Parts: sequence; C-alpha cells; structure tokens
Amino acid sequence: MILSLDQRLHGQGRAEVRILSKPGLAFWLSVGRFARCLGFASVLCLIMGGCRSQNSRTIAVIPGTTATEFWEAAHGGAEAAGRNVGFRIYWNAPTREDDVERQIGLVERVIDSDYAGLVVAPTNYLALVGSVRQALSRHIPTVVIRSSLPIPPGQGLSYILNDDQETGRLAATRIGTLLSGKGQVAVLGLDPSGPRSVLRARAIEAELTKSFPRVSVIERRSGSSYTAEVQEIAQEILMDNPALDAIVTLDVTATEGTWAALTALGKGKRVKLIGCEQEVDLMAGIRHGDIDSVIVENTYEMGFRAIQSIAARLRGESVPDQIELKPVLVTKANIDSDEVQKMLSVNWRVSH
Amino acid sequence: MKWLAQIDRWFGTLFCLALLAAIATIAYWLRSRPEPHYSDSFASGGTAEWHAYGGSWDSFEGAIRNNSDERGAKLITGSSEWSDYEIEAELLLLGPNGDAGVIVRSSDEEEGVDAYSGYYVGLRDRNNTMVIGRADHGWLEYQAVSVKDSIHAFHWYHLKVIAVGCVVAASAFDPETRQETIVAMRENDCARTGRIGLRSYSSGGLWKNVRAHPASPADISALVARAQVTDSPERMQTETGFNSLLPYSGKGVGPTDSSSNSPAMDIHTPPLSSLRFVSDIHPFPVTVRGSVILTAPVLYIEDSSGGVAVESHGSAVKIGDELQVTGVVDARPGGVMLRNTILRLLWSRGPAPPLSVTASQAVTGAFDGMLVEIEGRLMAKRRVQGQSVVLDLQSGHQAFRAILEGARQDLMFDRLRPNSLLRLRGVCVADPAFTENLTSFALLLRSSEDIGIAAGPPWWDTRHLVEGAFALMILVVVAVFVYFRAEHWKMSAVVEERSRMAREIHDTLAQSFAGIALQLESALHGPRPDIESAPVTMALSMARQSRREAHRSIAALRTLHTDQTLENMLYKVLRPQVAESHVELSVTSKGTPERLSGEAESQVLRIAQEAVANATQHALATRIAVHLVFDNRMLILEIEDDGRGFEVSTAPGSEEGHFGITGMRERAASMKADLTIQSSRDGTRVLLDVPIPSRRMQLWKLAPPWTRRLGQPLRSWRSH
Repeated sequence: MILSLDQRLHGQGRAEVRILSKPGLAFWLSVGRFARCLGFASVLCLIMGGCRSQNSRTIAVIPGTTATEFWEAAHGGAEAAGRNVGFRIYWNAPTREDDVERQIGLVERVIDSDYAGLVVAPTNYLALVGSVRQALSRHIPTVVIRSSLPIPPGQGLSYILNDDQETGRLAATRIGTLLSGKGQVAVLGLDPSGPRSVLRARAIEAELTKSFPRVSVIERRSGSSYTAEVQEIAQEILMDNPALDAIVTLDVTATEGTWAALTALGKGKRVKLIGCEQEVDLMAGIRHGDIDSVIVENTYEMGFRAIQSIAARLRGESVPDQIELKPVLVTKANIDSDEVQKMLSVNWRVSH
Repeated sequence: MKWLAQIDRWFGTLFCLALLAAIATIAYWLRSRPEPHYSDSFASGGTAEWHAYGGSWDSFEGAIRNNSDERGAKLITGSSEWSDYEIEAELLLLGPNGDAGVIVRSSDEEEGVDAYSGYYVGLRDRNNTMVIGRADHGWLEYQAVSVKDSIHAFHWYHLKVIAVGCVVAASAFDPETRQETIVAMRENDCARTGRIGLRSYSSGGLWKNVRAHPASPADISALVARAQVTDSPERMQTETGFNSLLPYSGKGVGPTDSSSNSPAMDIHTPPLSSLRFVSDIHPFPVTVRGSVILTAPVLYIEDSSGGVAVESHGSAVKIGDELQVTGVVDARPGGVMLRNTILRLLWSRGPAPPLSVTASQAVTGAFDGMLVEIEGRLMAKRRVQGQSVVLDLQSGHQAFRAILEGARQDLMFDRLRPNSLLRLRGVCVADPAFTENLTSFALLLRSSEDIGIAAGPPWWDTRHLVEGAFALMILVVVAVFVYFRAEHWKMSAVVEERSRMAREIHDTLAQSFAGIALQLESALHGPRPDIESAPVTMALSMARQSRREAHRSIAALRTLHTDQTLENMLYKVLRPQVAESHVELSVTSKGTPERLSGEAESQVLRIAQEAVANATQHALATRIAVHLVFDNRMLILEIEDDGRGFEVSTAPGSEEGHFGITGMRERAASMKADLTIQSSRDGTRVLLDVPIPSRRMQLWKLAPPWTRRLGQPLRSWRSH
C-alpha cells in the first residue's frame, strides 16, 4: 500500500508539470505577452533592418572632388550603370582636390555604413592605402578609378584607370605635328605626390625623343591646386623662355593658369597650349582658339564600368583586375562629335 | 473547430492592426504641419538654430558671415516639413570668383559642395550670372541669367526665393541700380518640403535680414509672369549648351587688389619663418605672402614655414585668401607681427588644413602663428565679458587655453562638458595678450566648428555612479521579485497538486480502509461463530494500519507548505500521530534552517512519520524526541524514543508484508541520504543525514539578506 502510494507520489514530478500549467494560466498569458512583444520587436528590427538595407543596395562613389565638372561625367556613368543593375549611388567628395583628409573621412564613413560597394578616385597615391585595405578587409567590393594605388588587384579590388601613357603620347604627337617636328616645349603641372603626372611627362618625353627628336622639353615645373598660383608659374616660364613654342599642362588647374598667363602676356597665338583633363570652361577656349587641344579622359566610362564591376562581383562573377581606358584628344575639329560630347556631359541624371 | 477559432483570432489581430495603421495614417495626415516661419535673429547675435556644414560662420555687425573660401559651405535651419514658402535675405559676396545665395527645401545635408537635396539660387560673380538649379548630391543647373551691370563683391543685393508646388522662382534686386534679375524653374518630380539655408561657393558671403514665411500660388505667379521658367537642366548640362549660353570672356584669372595703392605682385618673397630673425633696430619694410588662417581678433597668415600676425586695419579678407603683405616687422617675444601693412589679395584659395600636433610640441614655439589641431581635455570653460569664450584645457602635463571670439559661441558653450576630450583647430599663439602668461600657448579658434568633441566625459563621474547604483538596486529588486514570483508559481502548483492528491486519498483510499475495517469488525464481533478469527483479525489490523498510513499521507501532503520551516512541518505532521496516546513528543531544531526541495522535505516527513509510528505502535514508547540539525550543507534528523526497541537485523521486511523500514530506506536512498537505525532495550534511535544541494544554497545567497524581507508582502499576499 505504501509502495503504491509512494509510486503515485513519486510520479508527482510529472504531476507537477501538469499542474504547474494550471495555476500558470497567467504565466502562460504573460509568456504570450512576452512572445507578442518579441514579435513586435522583431517586426521593428525588420523595419529598421530594411532602413539599414538601403545602404546595402547603395554603392558609394567618392571622386577626387565635386567642386569641378571633371567628375560629373563619371557621376552620370555611375548613375546610368546603377539604374541598370539596380543599385542606388551615393555621391560625395571633398571640396578641394587636395583635401586628402576629407576623402579618407568619406571612405571611412562608407566602410562603417554597410554600403554594397565602394568606388574611389584617390587624390593621393599613398594616403588612401589604409582606408582601401580596410574596405577590402570588410569584404566591400572596391574599384579604384582613374589612378592606381600601391595595392595589387584581386580579392575584391579592381582598377579602372586612365591610360596615362597614351595621354602623354597623344600630347607629344600633337606637339610634334603642330611644331612640324622642331621647337621648345615646357611641361607644367607635375605632382610628386602621385605617379599620374610623372607617367604622362615621361611618356611625352619618350614619344618626342622617339618621333620628334628636334622637339625639346626645356622646362618641367610642378603645379598647384590654385589657378592663380599656376598662372604666376606659367608667366615666369614664359618670361624666362621667350622662344618657347608650346606648353603641355598636366591637369585642369595647370591648363587654366597657363591659359590665363598666355592671355595676360598676349602670347595666346604664339605659344600653343595642350592640356590634359577636361573642364567645360576649357572647351570654350578650344572653340575660340585660345587652347589648341585638351586630352580628355573617359570618366563617364570609368563611373559606368566601376558600378558594373561591383555589381558583377556581388553576383559572384569574375571581373578584370585592371582596365585602362584610352583618352581622346579634343580639338576644334572633333569637339562636337557625339563621343566627345558624351565624355564632356555633366548631366548626371540622364542615361546614355 | 480549433482551426476555425485560430483563423478567427488571426483575422481579429489583422483587423486590429489594420485599424491601428489606418488611425496612424489619418493622424499623420491630419496633424498640424509646421508653418514655415523664420525671422532673422542675426541682428541679436543668435545663431544657435542654424547648423553649419563647412565654412567658418560668425555673427558680424548684425549679419551672419561665412568668412571662408570653402566651396559649398552651408548653414541650414528650419523644418524638413516646410512646404510652400518664401525666403528673403540681403546678400553680399565677400570675394571674387565664386557665388553665394540661398537654399530652399533642403534635406539630407552633409559637408560637400552639393551634398544636400534641394534648390539653390545664387549670385555668381565669376561670370556675372544669377543661377538656379537642383542639388541632389550633384548639381543640375536649370538657368544662368546674366545680371545687368555685373555682380560685384562687397555689394548688397536683395534676394527673394519662392517655392510653391514644383515651381521655384527667385529675384535679385540691386538697390543702387534698381535692376532686378529673375530666374525660375520647374521640376516634375520635385522636392516638396525642406529647410532653408545659406550657401557660398569660394567667395564667402554675408547675409542679413533673413526671413521666411508661407507663400501662395499667387505669390509665385507674380514672379513667374516676369520670367521664363525652365523645365529641364539638359541644355545647361552639356558642353555645347553651357558654352553657347554664356558669353565668352576668355581667361582672366589673376591677382586682385584690396587696396588702392597696392604694390606690384612680387613673385619671390621670403618665407614667413625668416621674419623672426629680422632685426628691429633698423626696421625696414618686407614683403611676404601667406594664406589667411584667422581674421579675428587678429589677422594671421601662414605659409609652409610658419605664420605671422598682420595689422589689418579692418581689411575685408577671409580665411583662405592668399595675401601679399608689405609691412614692418615687429618681432616680439610672443610672436611676430607685421605693422603698417599694405595688403594685396592675390587670389582666393580654400582654407588650409591644420597641422596635427600635440600640446608638448606646441609649447616649443615651433608652431607659433600656425593653424594646428590639438587634442586636450576640457578642465573649465567661461565667458569673458559676453564677447568671447575661454576654454581651459589639459593635455598630459601641458595646460593651454582656447579662445573663441564672437563666432556662434552660443552654439557650443552649453554642449561642452568638463572632462570632455576636445579636438580643437586654431591658430597657435604665445602672445601674452591671450595667454596672460598662465599657459605656454593659446589657440585662437576661428568658429565654433573648430571645436570637435572627440569623447565625452568619463562615465564614472559621481552622478553616473549614483545613477548606476540606483539602477542596479532597481534591477536587484526586480530580480528578487521575479524570483519570488516564479517560486510562488511553482509552489502553488505543487501545493495544489498535493492538496488534490490528499483529497483523492481521503475520499478513496482512506474511506475504503475505514469501510473495510468496519466490515471486518462486524464480521469479528458478529453472530457467526464459524468464522475463523485469526485471519480476520489480521485483515482488520492491516486495514487499520493502512487507514493510518493513508491519513499520514494526507497529513503530509497537506502540511507541506513553503512558508513553514521543516521543524514546524514535522510538528504538524507528527503531533496527530501521538494525539490519542500519552506519548510525549518534542521537536527541536539547531542551526540556521535551510530549505530542501519539496520532494526531499516530503521524504523527510514520511521517514519521521514512519519512525514515530513504529515507536508508538510497536515500541510502546512514552517519549519521542525529534531533533533537526542544519550543519554545513547537511540536514541531520534524529528521532529517539524510550521504547522497548527491536532487533534491527531481524526486523521483518517487505517480503513478510512489513514495508515500514524498507520504505524508510528507499526514501532515504531516493534523496541520497544515509539512514541509520540503532535499537536496544532502552529505545530506538533513527538517524537520517540528508545533503542539502548547493545549487539552491548559492542561488539564495546571491541575494543580500535584506532582500529576504521583500518576500514578506508576497507571502502575506499568497496566504490570502
């Protein structure tokens, strides 16, 4: 008898479970409430996640600066490609071409904000290395456009560059042709902080030596981010070298400053000006004969292909490590061609 | 049909959610939208409601000034829900080759040239145009209209911008020439709401009498009627369109004079650092160049080698301007100043980035007169004569001060908390006029934007510690309450189940045994003498025994209660067993009572019941003593009687129909306790050693002793 009672009592563990649910009606109701709260919190998290996922469908493009029209074609290319592949584009850059600190800040913000990809046009050869490596370590597909960094491509990084050697060759060929194979040339706008201008200058000299040996480079001068400062340098060159036949400028500011110096000294017709890199103002100079030509970079294609490359990488497809885009020599003769006008467009909202 | 009920429930929930969403939507649309209204507070020096994105903003003679060449610097205020409104302002450009104007319907702002979403109307002195366009982290210029009589720097214009629906129109009025220029645009997918803002690109600017108020379609119609409305930016966004619309003026960038008798531009000038070594015995004029890094309270310029103060005579220069300065060197211990100066504005450049140095480097004087960035911990802050803010800072062993004059100090002062780590940008000076010889150097800040809070004060200040302790206390109280609540639920369930079992036993087994015993007694004492009495007597004895067992079980089940100590429970359970006899029962306890699990306590009670039953029924004891000892995680139960004892080794077992001692041993084994029975002619001693599980002990001991009192109200509540 006792044993049977014990057995029944011994089974109270099971009974306990069963009974607990009985007085625990309130308990289960509270559990239900908790579950509902959890569900509501989950919905909130989903909504917030949805907000956050806006960035996950956005590719950030950080050009050198947004203060000039140079990068607007790249903006247009990026927007057009973004629409094609279903990504939004975040576009911002420093207010100065040489504000490396601000560009690093923007890249770091992109890294911290869960963007789908990063496109950056570094303003400095070395300063962006750490930030780009950090982006790669966070598995953010990255495309460096226009000029390279000392980081090998692969593992999420690819390059879409301007062919600076070709830029130099085009400039040298134009000079040689204009000067009929004989004359004196100055190169203005060298920037020791990056390889781009050095590559161009070397390519100019190499091509001149090869194809126009009687054309000599008599001045090689660094530039500045400020037009007026370059104007002074150009005036100094012009005054020191009265027999100068042509000036090749390696960036927009150098071209604008030299143009202003030629205007100020009244040497616009005597000294030929061949510029590198485009700006809408400079095209007016070509149209009116103050500037002979400008070698235009295909920044539209840089922006377009960079977004395509990131989208392909996100789809798991392989992308080329490096693409070099050919620049185009723009003269009065071809400035109205569709190809050149597309490269010069600043309408980033219109697809091409 | 359960699934039907579930579906009903789901539909009900969905309906409620839909209803809530509908109410929320209606409430959102019916809520009162803020009326666009802003009245200039610059005249009184108030700028706190404005948020700066780049630039160097300060109050200046009743106006707000961006004294910087930064491209695309913005100052924003208002509500993102302002819709149709008109904004008016008096506007003055502080330099050439740039533009300045007003932003409407702005949102999504950040630092950057066109880093906002909205519409901008500006006066551009670079090509003498009034422009209007759409910014959306990129610039789409809709119209650039040439301004008659050109746009001049340092000349006031009255600017009015109206945004109604998807049309934005603006007029610029020159009070001197009485000329008015109008621009207008229409965008299909337009930004319909947003804040107002002031913006300049490269030129800097001065704004005053800024006002915003609601506008109606009639307001904008009156303006649009006098202008051509552009629907698309496409023409302006192509090279052909842009260059065909604007008159060609060639390239005429060059130095600009800021004084009527300025000297010629000198290309070769000495570095600024060399001025320290100029003799002041035979002072002679020198010409130097430098970029403006500070305009007030003293004008400072710097180049890559160093910086100097410049006597400016109120010249209108701004941060970032490149100056050529001719003056006499005044080399003082606190730094170099150029006096009797003639300034020549060479060109406008953006503000130079500061050098990042430590306070230890700054005290050496190597960065005197230069723009630097230094981190320091804020020790104290104060206002001086309502004109400036002085911050006392410490970095390592070096103390220094930062001085901000005029520039929107109201914005930052209240936000700065002592012990915050600040990152400051300013001009490093050793001039005693600023250091008062209390610190080695001082930083002259350009604007409140030069103060960055790198880290707030440490969290472990007194207030936070008190708050933390209070929060912890509340958490402990909540935890204890939850613990008691859970215990209550658990024990309620156990008690209820046990009560139910007790009722079941009482109503079934105990009643049955009573009936059997009654029948057997009737049979034994009845009129039939042929019935063999021995088996019946035996059956009667067993029925009575079983009935007593049943009652003991009932008593044990009903007695188990969480409030009571084991001592009390033992007394309650054992007392009825000796109630009808003359046995003297005593129950004592020693040590700090501790609780066992409900199961273990039940087993202890049943073992004690069995021992007492044996003592009263078989040993004919007259005294039974029950001792409880709590000692070192052990519960020792000792039951002693003075009965006649029995031979433990020969005591009948379960195979002979006696389950008492066997049951006691099994119960002891079930809770890993040791049971020892010692018996002699003088009595029997039952000893039970029960280990108390440590888990329960530790959990209980986690709570401070005072928290145990918190259970009292709960117990009272439960007892009701």
